Amino acid sequence: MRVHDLILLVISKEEGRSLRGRTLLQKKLYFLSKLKRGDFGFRPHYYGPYSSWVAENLDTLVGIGFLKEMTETFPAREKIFGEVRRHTYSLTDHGETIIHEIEKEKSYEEWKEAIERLNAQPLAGDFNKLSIAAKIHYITSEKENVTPEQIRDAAKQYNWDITDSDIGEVIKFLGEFFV
Amino acid sequence: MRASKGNKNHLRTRLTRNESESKSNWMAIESHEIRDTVHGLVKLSKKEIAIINTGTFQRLRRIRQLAMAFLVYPGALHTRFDHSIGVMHIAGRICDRLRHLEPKSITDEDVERIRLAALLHDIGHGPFSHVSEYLLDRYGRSVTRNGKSVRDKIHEKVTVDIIENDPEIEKNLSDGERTFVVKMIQGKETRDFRRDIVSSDLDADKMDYLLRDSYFAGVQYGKYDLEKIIESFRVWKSKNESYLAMSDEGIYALEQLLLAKRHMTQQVYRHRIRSISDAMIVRGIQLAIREGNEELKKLYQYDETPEFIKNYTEYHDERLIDILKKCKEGKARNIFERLYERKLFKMIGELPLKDVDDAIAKKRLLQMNDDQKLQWETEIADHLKINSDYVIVEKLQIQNPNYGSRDYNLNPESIMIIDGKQKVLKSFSTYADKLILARPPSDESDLEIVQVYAPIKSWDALSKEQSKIRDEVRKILLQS
Repeated sequence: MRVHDLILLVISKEEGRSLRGRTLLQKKLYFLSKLKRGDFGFRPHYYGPYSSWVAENLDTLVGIGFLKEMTETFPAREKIFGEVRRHTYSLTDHGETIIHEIEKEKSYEEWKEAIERLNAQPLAGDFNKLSIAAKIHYITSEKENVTPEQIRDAAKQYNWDITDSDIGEVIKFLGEFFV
Repeated sequence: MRASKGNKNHLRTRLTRNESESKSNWMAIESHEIRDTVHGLVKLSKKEIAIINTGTFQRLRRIRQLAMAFLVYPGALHTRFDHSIGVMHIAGRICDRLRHLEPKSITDEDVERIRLAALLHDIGHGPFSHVSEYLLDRYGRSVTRNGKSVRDKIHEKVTVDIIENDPEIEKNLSDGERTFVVKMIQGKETRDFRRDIVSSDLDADKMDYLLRDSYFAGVQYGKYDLEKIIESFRVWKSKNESYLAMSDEGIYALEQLLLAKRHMTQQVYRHRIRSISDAMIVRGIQLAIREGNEELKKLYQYDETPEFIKNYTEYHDERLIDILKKCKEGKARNIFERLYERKLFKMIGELPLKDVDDAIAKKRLLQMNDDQKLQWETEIADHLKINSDYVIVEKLQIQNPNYGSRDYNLNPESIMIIDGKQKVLKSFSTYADKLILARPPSDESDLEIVQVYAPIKSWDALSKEQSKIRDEVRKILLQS
């Protein structure tokens, strides 16, 4: 599936058919690409794996009118992966028409299943924890069995304000999602 | 005497320059220097000179940095040769600065190797630079990596093949140097500040080409405060990775550079005439290959053999023009004669995707494939009563380069800004916000645009006919 079609599909499977935050979208596509062994150009960045290709396609979809973008600005930075400006993306009428086209594609069912599997995870809507999970997944060379010590170690290095409960959730997610 | 605030800045600039002089003792300095148009005197080590003196590197003197942009900007005749030396010089200055701040952060060996990687980063460029990248990716046999076919990375593979296998280059690099240089150019899996200097969203490459292209094109858009940028670089390290970061003191200089990149893209790199001439070069070469030109077929049909590299490194802009001018009478030759005499195709149609009312038609235009393109070209040619090989349908991305393509990327989300306590910051200044530098390009119009070029003799004289032709082209592009 082409990356812009996948972006539309991911947003169509969100509650209210809208997705809040570019970071959340990046991390969702990162985990989907790993699950389905797709290459969407993710590269290491401080805030976890990031794909300028995904960012570029997202902007294209807004630019040509398949997605609508709403922007909120935050005066103070939020903890850890705080976004100073947060964008919410929702499907336009044109975007909805394209979703009907995507549903006719051969690969639709398998991607739909993968997205539903990701969305079923308690972490799926939390861009902070999903970012931690993505960063840990990347820097531990994608090993499935991550230890709490590895996460504590990373948290110290990257100044993450993280609780034992957060660590437990990240480990649970990484263990369950790739099984 | 107590220095004023302004004087302090002046002293800081001078200090930065002096660092460059004093820290250059890693090189075997024997007064080997090149006088560069942009950077002045550039010092070179023996090894760097040996590499520059190879035939493979000298070939870059005959590959223009901006292909045929001289058709718009007559002075834009500079080459990959001077750019490569400029990138090496800036990379060396960044290393000197980092070592001045933190002597243990970078070794002599690192500096030597980073400079070599910068010097060689464009060694794989073929005739007309990015035009060759496109043709290599189109005609080359797919490259296999990790069991997967990676067709679109052929031009990168050619660069690596030259560094690893070209006898002249190979002779001048040790095994360790070769491995390091390849890793700096190709590997992107782990973040390493040394690679960031050579290849990242804020690398020595962009820092040189903005200044150089601006100078030679005769425009002012590409200028920014190079001294302040270099002075502001820092290294940010964790156990697993390291980044070339920028101190928040340099944020205004960085914003200036981002704006320079954006203006250069709009005014020079994506200039209409440049888009048309690049499209004509590509079409001319494709037609020559179709007309049976074995030389060109061999040039672009990458097959991972040493013979391919040997042949490829013998080509440059002038040789390709010679071949095309000597082609048998035909369409390819016609196109190159037109290019040579600046009788360029005209843009006879333009369709921004955001203006398309039909969602399905819009998706078709967005995902344009070769078959669809050929169908449109044939229909437009029928309407104009010309041969379809002379009609070119192109999809362009005209977007905010700060969030731009993988090749031209300079992305605020991925440039690390740190404060004096090594804390990572994310936002740009309020000023940048107002300049919409840090906003997504969705605020801008015409992100994706389809353009149609054809050889219309007297387009200006056809003013009454122009809108009719444009309407018909639009109609053809929108039909299923």
